[in-house]
Amino acid sequence: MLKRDSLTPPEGRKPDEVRETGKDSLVNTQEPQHGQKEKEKESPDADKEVRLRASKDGSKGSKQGKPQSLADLIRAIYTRKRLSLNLSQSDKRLIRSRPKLEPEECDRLLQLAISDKTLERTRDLMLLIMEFSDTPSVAKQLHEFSRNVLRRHPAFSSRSLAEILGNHPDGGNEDYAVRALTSQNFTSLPWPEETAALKKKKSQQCQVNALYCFLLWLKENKGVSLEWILSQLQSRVWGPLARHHRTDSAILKALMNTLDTTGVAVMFSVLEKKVADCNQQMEDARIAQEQAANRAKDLEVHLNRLMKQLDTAKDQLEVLSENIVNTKRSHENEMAHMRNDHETLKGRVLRCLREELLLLDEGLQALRRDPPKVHVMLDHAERVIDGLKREVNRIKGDN
Amino acid sequence: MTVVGFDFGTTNSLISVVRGKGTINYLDDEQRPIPSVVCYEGKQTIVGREARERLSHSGLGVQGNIVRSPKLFLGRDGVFIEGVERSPVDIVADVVRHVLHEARASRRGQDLGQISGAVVTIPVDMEGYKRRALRDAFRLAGLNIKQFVHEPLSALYGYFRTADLQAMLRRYDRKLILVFDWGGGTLDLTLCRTLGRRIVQIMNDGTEEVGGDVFDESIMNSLIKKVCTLRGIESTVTMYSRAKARLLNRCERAKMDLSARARSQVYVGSFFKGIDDEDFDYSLNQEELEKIVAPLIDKGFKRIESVLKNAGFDPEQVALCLATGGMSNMPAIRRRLHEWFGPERVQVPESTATIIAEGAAWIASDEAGLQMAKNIELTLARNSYLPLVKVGTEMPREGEVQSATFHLYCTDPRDGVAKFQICEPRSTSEKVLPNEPRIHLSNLTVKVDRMARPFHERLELDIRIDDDLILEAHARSLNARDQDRQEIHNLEFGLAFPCKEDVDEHQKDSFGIDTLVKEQSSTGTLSIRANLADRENLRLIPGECLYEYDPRYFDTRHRPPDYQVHEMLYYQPCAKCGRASNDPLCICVSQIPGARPVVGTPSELEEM
Repeated sequence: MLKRDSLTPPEGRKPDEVRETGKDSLVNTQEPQHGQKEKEKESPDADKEVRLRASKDGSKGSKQGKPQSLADLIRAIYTRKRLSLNLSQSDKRLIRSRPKLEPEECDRLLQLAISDKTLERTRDLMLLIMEFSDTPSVAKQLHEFSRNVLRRHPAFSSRSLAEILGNHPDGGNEDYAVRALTSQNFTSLPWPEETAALKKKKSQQCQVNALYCFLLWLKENKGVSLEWILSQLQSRVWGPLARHHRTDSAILKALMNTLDTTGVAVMFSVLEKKVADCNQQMEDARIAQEQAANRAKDLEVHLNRLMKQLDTAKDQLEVLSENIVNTKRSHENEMAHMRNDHETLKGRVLRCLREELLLLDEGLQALRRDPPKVHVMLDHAERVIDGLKREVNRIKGDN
Repeated sequence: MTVVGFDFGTTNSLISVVRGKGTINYLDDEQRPIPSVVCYEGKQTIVGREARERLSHSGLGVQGNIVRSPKLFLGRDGVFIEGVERSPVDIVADVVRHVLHEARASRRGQDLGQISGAVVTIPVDMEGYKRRALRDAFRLAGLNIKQFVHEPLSALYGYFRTADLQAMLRRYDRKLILVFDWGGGTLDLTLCRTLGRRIVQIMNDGTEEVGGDVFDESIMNSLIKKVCTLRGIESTVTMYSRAKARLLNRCERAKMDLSARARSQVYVGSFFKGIDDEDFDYSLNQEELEKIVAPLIDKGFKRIESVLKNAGFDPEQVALCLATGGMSNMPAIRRRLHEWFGPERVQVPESTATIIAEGAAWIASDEAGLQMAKNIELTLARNSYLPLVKVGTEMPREGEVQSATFHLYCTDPRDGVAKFQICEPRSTSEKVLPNEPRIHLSNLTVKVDRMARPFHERLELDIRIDDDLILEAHARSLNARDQDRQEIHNLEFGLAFPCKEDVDEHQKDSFGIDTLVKEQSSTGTLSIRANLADRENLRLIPGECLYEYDPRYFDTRHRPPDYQVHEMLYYQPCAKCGRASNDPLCICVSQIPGARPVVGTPSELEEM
C-alpha cells in the first residue's frame, strides 16, 4: 500500500527533501521515522475537503486569508508555505462567484508556479479541480491553468508529452506517454539556465508528482478509467514499494504506520470490489465451464452415436459394394457362360452341318458315277437324316 | 489375372478356365480340341487341325514333315524333320503358342482375361527332365507353368468337382478308383485311392499301342484288305495321293457312327489308281467293326487287368471306374467295362474329351496342391529307414524349392565309402511298417576316411525338390570332402483337395528329422541326440557339435571326456599344414618332439 508520507514530505521537513529511493522505482521505499509520523494526522472528512499540508502553524494562516477568488486560491496554493487549506462551502461559493482569471493575472500565477519544481503544489491544485466538478467554468479555468503549468515544466518538455498535453491529434497513446514520462532522468531535466537542477531526492519526488499530475490530467481530458490509473500507479509507484514488505510484520507495520488511512480504505475497497468481481467472474467461468463440459459430454455422446451410425453406414456400404462386385462378377460369369453356350451350340451345329454336308456331297458324287452308286447315297442320306434328327433332338433338349 | 488349365495331350490340346461355377473350354469353331500336330512346310509352320488333316497314317511321332505328339520328343536333343534338326522344345512351344492364339482369337477370348500361368496336365510316366523341358517350352511360348498335375488325377478332380465334391469324397473315401484315359493316342491307366482329402495314386500304366488312331488305322487296313479281296484287286495296287488320309477319316467317322447305327457305308471316291472302278466302297457293320478291333480292345483290357493284378486288387474291389477319352464312348469298350465293373461303378462323363482340361482348370481355381504320395526314405540298416520327405509334404509350386539337410555319421568306414540308399515304400499309407517292401530309387556314394572310428566322420545329405518335381540328393563327407549328386525323377504324388479347416500345419513342413530338431531347439535347450536320453546330458553330445555350442566345455580344467575331445579335434584342420585330420600326408605331429598322434586306427583308439 502506498504511504502518504512517500508522496509529501512529513512535518518539520523542507518540502524539497525526499528520502533515498530505490533505483527502479519512482518513490522512496523506506519507512518514515516514527516521531515524524505521530505529528501527522488524518482529517476525518478528507473526502469532502482538500487539505493542503504546510507547516505546523498552517491553521493560523488559513484563518487570516481565505481565498476570495480563483486567482487567490491558486496563489494560496503556490505561496502559503505552511498552510493547510480547507475550503468550506462558503469559500467555494465565493470562488464560484468570481471565476474569471484575467490573462495578466494568469501569467503572474504561472510565473509563481515555476517555483513548484517538484510539482507538489500543482498536484494539489489538480486534485482541487475535482472539488469544482459542479462548476465547469471554475474547473475549466483551473484545468487550463494546470495544463499550462505542466507544459512549462521541463518534465513535460518531450515532444510526445507536449503533443498529448496539447491534445494534438497525432499524440501517442497513454501507455506510451506514461512510459515516456517516467523513463526520463529527473536529475538532469532541461531546467532554464538560472534554475538549479533538482537533487536526487527532489527529483524522485518530482517524478512521482509528475506522474500523479499527468494521470489526473489524462483522467480529466482523455477519460481514462480508474482501473487503468490504478494499474499505472501499481506498476510504477505502489508495486516497487510493496516489494520490500513481504513478511507479515512488515506488512502490518506499514499499514499501521500509514498516515493516509482513507487512501488505504479506498484502495482496499477498490481491491475488495475487484476481488468480488474476480470471484464473480470465476464463478461465472466455473458455471460456464460446467455448462461447456456438459455440452461437450452431450456432444461426445452425440458424436459416438453418429460414429456408430457412420460405422453402420460404412458396413452397409461395404456390403453393398461387395454385393455390387459379386453381382457384377456373377453377371460377367453368366455372360461368359451364355457366350460359351452360344458358341458351343453354334460350333456343334456347324460341325454337324459340315459333316452331313460332306456325306451328302460324297453321296452325290457316288450318284454321278457310272453306274450310279445309289446304295452309297441312300446310306449317306440316312446317316445325314439320323445325324440331323439327333442334332434337332439335342437342340430341343437343350431348350 | 487368370490361371488356366492346360491339357497338353498326346493327340489333342485344350485350354479350360473356371468362370463362376462352371468351366469354359476353348475349343475350335467346330467344338473340337486342337490337335497336337505340327507341320513344317518350308518356312511355314502349320499347327492344329490343318496339320492333322494332312496325316495319312496313325501313330505318333514324325511323319514326313508332320510331327504328331511332339511332347513325346521332350528330353531329346533334337528331332530330324525332313533333314532339318529341330528342338523338341521349339516344336512343343509352337503347339502351345497356337493353342493360346486360338483361345485368344475365339469369341470366348474376351472372357479369358490376362493369363498369368497354367496348371498343365502331364502323363503319369513323364519323367523329371521331360517336365523341365516342357516348362521351358511353355515359357518360350509365353506361359508360365504354375503347377504340373497328372492327367488321371486331373480327370478325377474334374469329375468330382463337376459333381458334388463333398458327397463324392464321402462316397469314395478310402475306396479304390480306376481312372483310364483311352484317347486317340494313348491309353493311360491309374489306380488311385482317396485318403481323407487327398487322392493318392497306387499304380500307373500306359501304352501307345491301343490309341484311337491305332483303331482307325486297323479298321482302314482291314477294310482295304477286304475290298481288295472282294474285288480281286492286288494288294500292290497304287492309290491316289491323300486317298489314305481320306479313308482314315471315313473310318473314324464310321467308327463313331456305328456307336448308334448297325451299318455304315465307307465310301471314298477316286481311291484306287489304274482300275475300272476307282472308288473305295464298303458297307461296314457293327459286328465286323468289333471283330476288327477286338484284339486291340483285348490288349487294352489286359493292361487294365495287369494294373489291378500288380497292385493286388480284383475288379470287384474297384468302387469307381472313371472312363475318359474318346474311345470310352465305343459300345464295345463300354460293354466290356460294364461286364468287368458293373454298370453302376462305371462312369463315363459327358465331356470325356475335355474333362482333363476342366479338372486342371478347377485345380488352378481351387489352388489344389500336389502332395507327396509316399515317404522318401534313406536306408539306415536292415528294416530301419529314415524318412527324408514325408508323405503328405506339399510339393513346390512355380519358383519354389523345398529343401532339407540331414546330418549323419558314417557307421562303417572300413571300405572308405559311405553309401546312401534312397527308397520308397510300396504302400501309400502314412504309417508304413519297417518290414514292408521298399522300391529302390537311387544310390549315392561318397569317400570317407577309412582310418576314422565308426560314428566318427560326419556325412551330410541335402534333399531338394524343385518346381519340376525333381528330387535332387546331394551327399557330402565332411572330412574326406567327397560328394555325389543324384536326381530322382519318378516321384509319386497325390492331389490334395483344398479345405482350409483341414490344413494340417504338421504336414505343411514335414521334411524329416531336422524339423523336429528345429522345433525342439526353439525352446532354448540343446537337444541333439534327444532320442538317446530324456534329459540333458552333455556327455552324450558329439564333441564337434558341443564345441560349436559351448567351447568352454573343452577347457582342460573341466576334464572333458577323451572321446569328445577326439570328436572335436577330428574336424579341426592341422594348425600347421591345414590338412584334414587323419590325412596321411599330414606328418606335422610326428615332427613335434615327444608328441604322439591323438587319433589313430579304430583299434588304437579303442586301446586308448
